[in-house]
Formats: sequence, C-alpha cells, structure tokens
Amino acid sequence: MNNRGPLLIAFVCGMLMMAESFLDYSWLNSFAEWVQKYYIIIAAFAIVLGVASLFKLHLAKLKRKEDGWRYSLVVFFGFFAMIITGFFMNDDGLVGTKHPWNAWLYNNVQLPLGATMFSLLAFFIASAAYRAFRARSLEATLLLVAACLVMLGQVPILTGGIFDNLPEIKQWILDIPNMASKRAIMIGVGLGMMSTALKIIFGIEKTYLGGSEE
Amino acid sequence: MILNLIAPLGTTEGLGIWIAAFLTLCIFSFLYKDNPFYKFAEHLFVGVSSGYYISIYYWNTLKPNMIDELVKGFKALGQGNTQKAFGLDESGAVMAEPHLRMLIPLMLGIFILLIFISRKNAWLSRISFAWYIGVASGIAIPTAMSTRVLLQAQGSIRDFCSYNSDCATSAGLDPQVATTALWINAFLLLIGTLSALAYFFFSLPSKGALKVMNKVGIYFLMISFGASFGYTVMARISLLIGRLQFLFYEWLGITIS
Amino acid sequence: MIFNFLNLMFQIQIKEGTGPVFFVLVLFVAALFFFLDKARKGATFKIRKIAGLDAVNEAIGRATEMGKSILYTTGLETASHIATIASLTILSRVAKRAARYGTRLQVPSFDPIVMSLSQEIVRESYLEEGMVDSFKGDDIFYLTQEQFAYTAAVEGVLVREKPATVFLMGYFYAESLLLAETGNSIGAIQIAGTDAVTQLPFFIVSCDYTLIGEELYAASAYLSEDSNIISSLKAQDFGKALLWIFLLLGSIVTFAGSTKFLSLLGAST
Repeated sequence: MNNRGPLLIAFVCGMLMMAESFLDYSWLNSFAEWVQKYYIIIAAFAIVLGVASLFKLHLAKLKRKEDGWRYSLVVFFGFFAMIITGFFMNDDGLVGTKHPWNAWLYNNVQLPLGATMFSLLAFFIASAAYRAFRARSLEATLLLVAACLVMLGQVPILTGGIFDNLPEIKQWILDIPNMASKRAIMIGVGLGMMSTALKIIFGIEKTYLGGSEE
Repeated sequence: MILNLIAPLGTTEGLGIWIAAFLTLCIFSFLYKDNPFYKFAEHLFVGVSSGYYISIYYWNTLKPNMIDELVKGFKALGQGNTQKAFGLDESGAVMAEPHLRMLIPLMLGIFILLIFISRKNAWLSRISFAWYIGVASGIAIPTAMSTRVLLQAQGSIRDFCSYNSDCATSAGLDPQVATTALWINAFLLLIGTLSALAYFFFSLPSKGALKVMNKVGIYFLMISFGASFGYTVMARISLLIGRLQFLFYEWLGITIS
Repeated sequence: MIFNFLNLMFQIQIKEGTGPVFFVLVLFVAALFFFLDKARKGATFKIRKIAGLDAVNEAIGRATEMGKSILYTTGLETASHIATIASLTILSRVAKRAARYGTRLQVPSFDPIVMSLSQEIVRESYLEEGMVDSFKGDDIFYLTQEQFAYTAAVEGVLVREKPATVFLMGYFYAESLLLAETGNSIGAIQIAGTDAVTQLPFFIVSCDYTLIGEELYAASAYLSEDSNIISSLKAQDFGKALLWIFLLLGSIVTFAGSTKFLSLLGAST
C-alpha cells in the first residue's frame, strides 16, 4: 500500500493551516475556517466504525456464550433505548436529545452513573495518598509535604500558631515552586508538540498511518 | 434528623430518582470488589452513552452541517443556480454557507467507512486520516508555540518587570512594591523554571552542573505535583458529598436540621 | 522587522502580532532540518536514559513470562490531539515487541478514529514482525466517548482480565487516578505518560514509571530507534537551550529595568 498520497495531503493541509495563522488573505482564512468547522464531519462518520466495533465485540460474546454474555444484552438494551428515543420519536417537534424520554434517560441513567464514577475519586485519592505516604525517598516526601500543606491550607479548620499561616503557605507553594515547574513543563510540552506536529507535516513520522511505504 | 418522604415510585420523576439511586449504589459497590451490580451498571453506561453520542453527532454535527447544507445545495442546483449551489455569491466570493462544498467532507467520511465495508479499498481511509491529522498538526503548531512556549516565557520575565516601577509603567503593568521577600520569590521562580526546564534536556549527559540542576528541577517538580494533588483533594471530596446528598436527600428524603 | 521586510519586498499580507511566533517557528524548523540532515549523513545522537522508557521492554517481558496480557490506552482525546498521536507512535513500538514475544495486546479506545488508526498500526507492527497470523483485530476495540463510561469499562477489563502490564499514554482528565489506582490494585506494572499537567501527580503516585510532559513526545522518538526521528530531540533541546538562555538574560535585563525582552515577546499575546 502506498502512503505517498496521504503524506502529501497531510503536508498540504498542515502547511495551509499553519500559514493561515500568519498570513492575512481572505481565501486562505475562509478556507481554514471551513476546514476547522467541518473536519469534525470525519469524526461523525467514524462513530459508525466505533459502534460496529462495539457490536462485534458483544455479538461475539453472545454467540459464544462467553462469561458474562448476559451483560452484553444490557449494552444493547441501553444503546437501543437511546437510539429509539433519540431518532424515532418526535414530541411536538422535540427530537433527538431534546426528546423528553431521551432527556429522561440521560438525566436518570447516564448523568448519575458519570457523577458516581467521578465521586469514586474521593476514595481513590485517599488510597493514592496512603501509597505516597509509604514511599521513602526525598522526592516522595516533598510531594507529600506539599500536598498536605496545600490541602490543609484550603480548609482552615485548624487555628492558632503555625496553622494561622497555612493559607499563606499554601498560596506560596502554588505561586512559586508550583508555578515554576508548571512553566517548565508547559514550555517542554509546547516544544514536544511542535516537533511531533512538524514531523507529521514533513512526513518524517508516518507511523500513525499504519501501512508501510512499500 | 427529619425523614420527609422517600421519593415516590409512581411518577416518572420519582422512578428516575429510584433508578439513579440504584445505579449510584451499583457503582459504589465496585469499591468492595467487582460484582454483578457493577457489571450491570458498567455495561448499561457503555450502551447508553454510545447511543447518546450517536444522537449528538447526528443532530449537532451531521444534520445541520452536512445534510441540511447538501439539501440546500442540490435545491439550488435544481434551480440552475450553480454558483449558489457551491456556496458562492453572485460575485463569486465564498459564502459562509458551504452547500455542495460539503461533498468533500462527505467523501472523506465515506472513505473512512470503507474500512468496515471493503478491506480492499480500505486504503482510501488513509486519505481521510491524513487530512484529519494534517489539519490538526497545522493548527497545533502555532498554538503550541504561542500559548505554551512564548506565553510561559513572557510570564516568567514579566515577574521581574512588575517589581521595577519604571519597567512596569512602560510595559503597562501594575507596579508592585519590591520587598526583599518578593525579590527572593521572583528569583526562586526563575531558578525553579530554569532547573525544571533543564530536567527535560534529553541529549546532554546528566553530569556536573546539569546534574545538580536536574536534581533541583526534580525537587521543584515534586513539590508542584504535591501541590496539585493537595489542591484536588477537597474538590473530590465535595463530589462524593454531592452523591451522598443525592442519596440521602433526594432519594431517601432525609434532611438534617 | 522580518515581517516588514517580507511585506515590503513581496507584498505579503501578514497578520499583526504574529511576528515572535513566526520567528521562533522558523528557527525551530531550521534546527529540525539541520539535525535531520546530520542524521541522514550518518550522525548518531546520544540520548540520556529515561527511566520509564527503559522499563518498556522489561514490562512487556514480564507480561510474556506471566502469560498475561498487556493493556494499552491512548488516553481520552481524539486523534486531533498531538499527545494522542505521540501515544499512537509509542503503541506501534509496543505492539512490535508484543508481536515478537507473542503477548496479547488489548487496546480499548475512546475515539473511533483513534481505534481505526490503532488497528492499522498494530496490524502493521505484527506484519513487520512476521506475526500477522496472531494479530487479533478485535483486541483493539471501541467503548464509548463518554469519559466515565469509558473509565468504568476499562476498570472492568482491568479487574477481569488482570493484565500484567498497563500503558496509560496520551491525554487524560480526572479519570487518570481511577485507571491508575485500579491498575495498581491488580498488581500490574504501570507505565504512564501524559502532557496533562494536572493529572501528572496522580500517575506519579500510582504508576511505576511516569513520562512527564515532554518525555511523552520524546518517548515516541526514542523508541523508534530511527536516527532520523531521534534527531528531532536534538531540535527540541536546541529550542530549550535557546529559551533557557533567553529566560536567564531576559530576567537579568528586566531586573535592571529594561522592557526590551518583554516587548520582544509582548506581541505574541
């Protein structure tokens, strides 16, 4: 399979988009605007591939009666409930995600599930903190001490003596050492991103396309 | 403690609360271990959300941006107005509405589907992927440069300017009274940034001065990670409180007074 | 200045205020091609040890020895995010080694485009290792684009399949800790890498190795073992060295009261 064509397309698109941020030509600007607005269409088509993959996975489980095949039925149940209410129902012009049943499913199934998964973090953050507490190195100690100071600085439950200064200490850690490292990380990441993106545009890195050039 | 009323099952609203409460408990049960309730909730979540995203993509992206545009384009073409059909006005200038220009993203979208339909022609999908990633790379480069690299560098230097009243005035910044503590902070900030940046040198051997700087850099990084960690804890606990409030207040109707 | 020159000489219309970005970009591209040219002429570049990367082979070997699988996630961003692309290139290197050792590699995907790209990349890696018969396309699968539904499902895979090695590479949000802690609880060796600054602390605490920020991008080059690609690390270092000097000088000059350096950068905001 030949990758030369796709690589040329990546080059042309990349260069045009890059040039657009520096050059002031109406045709180039409207081209870039058009591309940015509509290249997401590709993602919308790709969702078909995603769903095909999901179906394949669960149909195979059902067919082979694999462990937990019954849960695959739950996936289909949830999926079709959303599709039927989202595509085949019309309530006085309210369609899609605006249809009351679709919205009901979203609000009472998807939303609480997401919020609960998110809230599990309260427990996981505690176990992670415990692990950091057991690590015996200077680096881990610095991390832990900074974490404790910032955490306690946010909840002024303790007062008197050194505790009165905790909010200030917290702010200092956030503004000085924290800010210094964040800046360095951001600069590094920016350079890494640029280098990776340039390698793609100039066809130096082509792994992302899969097939080899031969 | 007052027990008002457990959410009534008979109404759609009440039923919704009962279902949400059940699913909340299913997810919490994972904290004990993997179990059928969690598996049920997990699979339902995957099914519902992937169905939901199809709706979102169709109603928010495909329909308004492509289908509607193509319909308008073909209508114009039917009326013999070729220029309008391709989203050009009388003078030939590009209009905001693309109409039949949407055939290009349509084609790129169909190319992607070939992976699924015909393995032989699947190579065409690479054109779409190359377009998608090429565009993303082109957008990312100037953005990464200005918002990540230059903006951070500017912030770093600016600290020194605001403490100097002459500099601050001419650069249009709010001058700050330069106390010794502030100066020490500004220099610590600089040392921190430079040493942490030095940690990311990949092609220089970590020897001599660079080794010392790398060490200092790591210390700064660790303090920063600790700070982020500590900063997040309260936010996570409040999320948990939110879920517990839902269970106790909205579902069970318990209020503490 | 350069812009005025271009404008006058070639009548090129340039957007105002983009001067500094353009200037630094030109410098960076020049450096990239300078080092690429050196690499093509046969120069090799020494790269310092990056702990997480040296552990990649060891981690894959461990899964092989234990007869267990490897789980690789490319993060929760689309393919338009550069970190995802970096992760995909790392995936290709991991897949090659997995193919060589005959170790099962599972890639649950958040984005369908990323899934398709991952399938192609892994297939290619198996092909290059002459193991295309053992390639299982179904092991690279799509779940959902909902952040926590994806997380719930990956946690399910983690606790049920119990992979010996977990790679968390790419861009992550709050779910980072949920994934990493679950991976930790099943005793998997975990290598993470992200440029999401806010999620780094959680990976540092819960994973065995963490690639911090730029290291993620460096990893994709480093693991390629291709000197043309590795040469880009030299360009990155060159950019960093310039900035390092610029920051130091700029701070000193600004300390003395001059706004020269600040105005050099000022136009970029």
